[in-house]
Amino acid sequence: MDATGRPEGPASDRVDGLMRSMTDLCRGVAAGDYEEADRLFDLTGGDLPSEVSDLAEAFGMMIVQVEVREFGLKQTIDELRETQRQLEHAKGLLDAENKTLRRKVSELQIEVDQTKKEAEVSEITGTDYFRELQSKARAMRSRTRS
Amino acid sequence: MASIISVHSYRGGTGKSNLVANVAAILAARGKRVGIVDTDIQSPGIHVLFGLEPETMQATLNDYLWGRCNIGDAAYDVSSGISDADGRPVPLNGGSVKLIPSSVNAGEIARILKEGYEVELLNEGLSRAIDELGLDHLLIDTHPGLNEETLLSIAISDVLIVILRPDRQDYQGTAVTLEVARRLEVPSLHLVLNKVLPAFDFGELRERVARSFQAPVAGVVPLSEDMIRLGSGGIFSTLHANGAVTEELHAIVERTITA
Repeated sequence: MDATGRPEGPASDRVDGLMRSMTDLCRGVAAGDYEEADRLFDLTGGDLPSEVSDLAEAFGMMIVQVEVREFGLKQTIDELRETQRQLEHAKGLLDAENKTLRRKVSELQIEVDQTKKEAEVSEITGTDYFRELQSKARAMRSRTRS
Repeated sequence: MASIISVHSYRGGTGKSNLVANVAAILAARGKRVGIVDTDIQSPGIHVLFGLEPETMQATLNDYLWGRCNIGDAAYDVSSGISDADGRPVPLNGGSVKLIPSSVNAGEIARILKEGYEVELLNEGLSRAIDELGLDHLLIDTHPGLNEETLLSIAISDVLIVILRPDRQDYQGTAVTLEVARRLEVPSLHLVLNKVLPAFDFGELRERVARSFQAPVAGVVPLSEDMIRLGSGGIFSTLHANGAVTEELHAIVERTITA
């Protein structure tokens, strides 16, 4: 810069260089790389031209705010995932409990189909073999009793 | 006078053989001479619980039914197969368990299924076994369902224990079995509920079952992880001398046999 502050050839080159590195940093941030973002603050203050310095500071602040918001969102997502996991676990427990309860109810209800039972019983007891067995058993029992 | 006790279930998988083996072990430990006949010819299995290897069976119930041997020749003393948690044989105070196994040979099983046998011969064999082996109690491990040999076992029994799970199909089959047993005038009928989820109200279940079937419930045995783990690896009541399952098994013996 000369005494009036007008940019000269080499100063203009320097601004171009600074703008290029700011552009690179911004592209990096866009791609999710916050590591290098701090270097923006190297482009603020000091003897740097104010148009570069102000822009770098504005970008730098923007990135910090975005990073903070992103961090907050990530935390919210993690919390939601944990809640989802707990809900799924609770659902599993409820399903199992429901199954046990259904089984308990059905097993405590002792229902016998009488018609079916009678049919099965007469099929067994209606044979000659059964009648013979019946009288033999009766004879055997009266023998042991006497 | 020896007593004949049949343990029956309408369907398989109720824990029938396990109950027979445990009742036998409990009676033997009280000094009783106990015989077991495995009449589940189609799917024999109780020998496994006593650690009796098929290779050591010179003769089986099948050989007796084909007239190849006397019933006493097919009896094996399995008392030493009743062991405690440390693997030591349980002292039996003069008691013993003699097992008459069915053949596990596929050809023998097929022959019985194809040709059948004289059921009357089984009847003779059972009463001879009581005399020849000098038994106090004869336990019969029956085949599920109600075929001729099972009906015979029920007919000659002094005590019939019907074992069931709390399950709709078991309830239906038990109703049929009890009706048939009543027509055969079995003097003493009992129900045992097995594999009951510990979450159940045992008292309520016992009461409901007794009321529905008009028969005493001799025991409600909880479904036990230890029992599942043991499987057919041995006699539960002596391996696990303490605990709810063993306590209930002793109570079953008292309510059905020694009462």
